[in-house]
Amino acid sequence: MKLSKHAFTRFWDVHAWAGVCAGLLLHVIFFAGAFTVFREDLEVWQDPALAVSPTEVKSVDALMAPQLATLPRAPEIVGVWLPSPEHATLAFNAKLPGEAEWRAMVRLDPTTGAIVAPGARSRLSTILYYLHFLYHPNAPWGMYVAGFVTVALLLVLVTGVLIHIKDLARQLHQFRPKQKLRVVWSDLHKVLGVFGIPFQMMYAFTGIVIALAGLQIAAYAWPLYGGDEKAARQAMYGTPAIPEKPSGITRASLPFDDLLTRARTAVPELEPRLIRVHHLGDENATAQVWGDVPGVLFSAWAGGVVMRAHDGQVLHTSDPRVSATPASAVWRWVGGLHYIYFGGLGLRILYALLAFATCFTILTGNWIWLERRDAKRAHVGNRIFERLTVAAGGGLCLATAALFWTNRVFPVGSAGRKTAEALAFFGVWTVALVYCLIRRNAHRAWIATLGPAGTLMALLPLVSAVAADKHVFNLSAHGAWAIAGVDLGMAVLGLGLIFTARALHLRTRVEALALIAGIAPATSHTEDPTLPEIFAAGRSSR
Amino acid sequence: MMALAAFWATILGFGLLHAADPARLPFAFSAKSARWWPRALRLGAATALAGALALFSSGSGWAEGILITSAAAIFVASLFVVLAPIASRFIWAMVAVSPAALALFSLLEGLHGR
Repeated sequence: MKLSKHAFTRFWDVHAWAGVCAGLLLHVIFFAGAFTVFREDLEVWQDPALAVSPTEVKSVDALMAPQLATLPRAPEIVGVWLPSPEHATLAFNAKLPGEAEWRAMVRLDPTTGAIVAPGARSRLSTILYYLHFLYHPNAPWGMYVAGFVTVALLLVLVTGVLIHIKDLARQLHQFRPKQKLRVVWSDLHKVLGVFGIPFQMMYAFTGIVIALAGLQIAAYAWPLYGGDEKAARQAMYGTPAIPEKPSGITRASLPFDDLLTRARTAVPELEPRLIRVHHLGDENATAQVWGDVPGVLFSAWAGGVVMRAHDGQVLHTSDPRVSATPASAVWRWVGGLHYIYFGGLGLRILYALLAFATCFTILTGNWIWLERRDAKRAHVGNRIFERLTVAAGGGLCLATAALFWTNRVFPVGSAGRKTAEALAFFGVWTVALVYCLIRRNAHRAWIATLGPAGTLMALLPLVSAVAADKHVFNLSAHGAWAIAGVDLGMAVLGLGLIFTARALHLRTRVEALALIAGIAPATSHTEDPTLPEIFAAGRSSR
Repeated sequence: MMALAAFWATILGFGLLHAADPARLPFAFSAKSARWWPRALRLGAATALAGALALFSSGSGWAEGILITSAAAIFVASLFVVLAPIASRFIWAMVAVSPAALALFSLLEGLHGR
C-alpha cells in the first residue's frame, strides 16, 4: 500500500506535531508507569517493616474494632484491604464526614493487630503512581490531561503506521548502530515503535477509557439520563450507585466477618480482597465486598457483592461466570489489560521493559523531528524543545534515582521523610531542567544526566544494604526477596543508563572527530559515513 | 518453568525468523545454494512461536496465552533487532542454546508436575 504524496505529507505532519506536543508528557506517563506495575513491591521496598509473615485472618472485626474506636466519629466510608500475596498486612483507611481528604492508610500485622510502621511512611510509590496519570489530590483534573494526551498517542500511532506502511517489513529488521547518530535514532524509533504498536495501542485505548471515564459520565448524564449522574455512573460501570447521603437514623451495621460470609455465599469461590462500607452504623449503610473470582480471564477484582449493611440483604452481585453486563465486561477487560491482572511477575517485568522501550520511541521521535526541522537548532523554540526533551528524559531518570536514594538515606519514621522525598524528586528534576537549559551542548546534557542517574541507581543495592535490615545481601529475612528484587531491578536499570551514557559519549566524540576531519555531511541516511570511516578519519586528523 | 520454556521458544522463533534473510546472519552464507533456506526457517519460526503460544496457554487458557505470547514476542523481537548488530555473538548464542533450554525447562516442568 502506497499513500499519495499529499496524504503522506498530511499524515507525517499530524504524526510529527501530535507526537511533539504530547511526547514529553507521554514519556513521563510511560516512565512512571514502568515503576507503577511494581507498585505493591515498591510499597514493601520503601517501608521494609511491611514485609510481615503472611497469616490467615481469623477475624477482621477483632483487628478492626480497636482501630475504629480511635476515630472521633463514625466514618463516611471505611475500606478494609485483606491480606494478599502482594501485601501480607491488613490495611484500612477511612474518610470522615466533613473532612475533605481520606485519612492515611493504616497497615496492621494480621497476627498481632499491631500497627506496622507506625511512623510517617514513605510516599515513593505514591509519587510515581500519581505521576503516571499526572494526578494530584489538589489537582484531579491532571488525570483528564493525561487522558487527552493519550488520545494524541492514539493519533500518533495510527498516523505512524500509515506513513511507514509501505516499507514496514524492511524497517522491522533494520538497526544500523554504525551509522551517524541521526540514523541510529531513526532506526531505534522505527524498530521499537513498530514492534511496540500492539502494546502502545492497548495502553493508549485502555488509558483513555480509564482516565476520561469521569468526563464521559458527565457527558452522558444530561443527554441520556436527564442529568441523573448516578444512573449514568451505573450504566458506565455496571454496578449500582451507592446512596450518597446517610439517613441520620442509627442502626448497627453487620460485623465485617458476617459481611464476608454473606458475600462468599452470594458469589461462591469469591476470594475477597476489599470490604468497603459507606455510612457505617447508619440505616442507609451499604457494604461492598470485592475480590477475585477464579476460572475467568482477568479474575482479579472480577467479583463483588453489594449489600445493605444492617441486614446483609444482597442488592447486587457481580460474577462474570454467571452473568456480566456489557459495561462490567468491558471494565473487566480494560482493567485487566491495563493493570496486568494476568501473567504474573514475568509479564510485569516484560511490560515494564516495553514501557521503557516506548520512552525510547518517544524521545527518539522528538530528536528526529528536531534533526529534520532544524538540524543546527537555529530557532530558539527548537533549542528550548531540545533541552526540555533532555530534561524529561535524562532529568527524570536523575530525579527518580534521587527519590530512591532519599528513601534509604532519610531515617525511617522521621516526620520530614515524605516531604524530603517529594523535594528530592521535584527539586532534582527542576535543577536538571535548569542545567539542561543553560548547557550549550545537548548531547553533553544527556550524558551529564544519564551517567549520574545510572550510577546512583546501580549503587542502590549497596545503600539499601547499609540503611535497611532486609536487602539483597540478607535474603533469609522474611520479605527480603521482594526488596532485593527492587534493588536488583534498579541496579540493572542503572547499568543500562550508564551503558547508554557511555555509548552517547563515544558517539559524540567520534562524530566531533569526523567533523574536524572534514568528512562531508551525507545527502541521505544511507550515505552517512560509517563508524570505521569516522574512526579512520579521526586517526588521520591527529 | 513452563513460562521460561515458552520464553525460550519465543527466542528460538524470532531467531529463526531473523535468520530467514541470509544477509542478517553473522557468517557468510550463500542463499543460492539452498533456496529452501528462508522458507524452512520461516516454517520453523512459525512452529516455535506456535509452541510458545501452546506453552504459555497450558497453565492459563488460550486468551491469556495469546496476550502473554504477544508481549513476549514484542519484547524478544525488539531486543533481537537492537542487539543483533551490537552483540551479535551473544544474541545468536541465545538462539543456539534455545532448543536445549526449551527442552530442559519443559523437562523440569514435567518432573515438577509429577
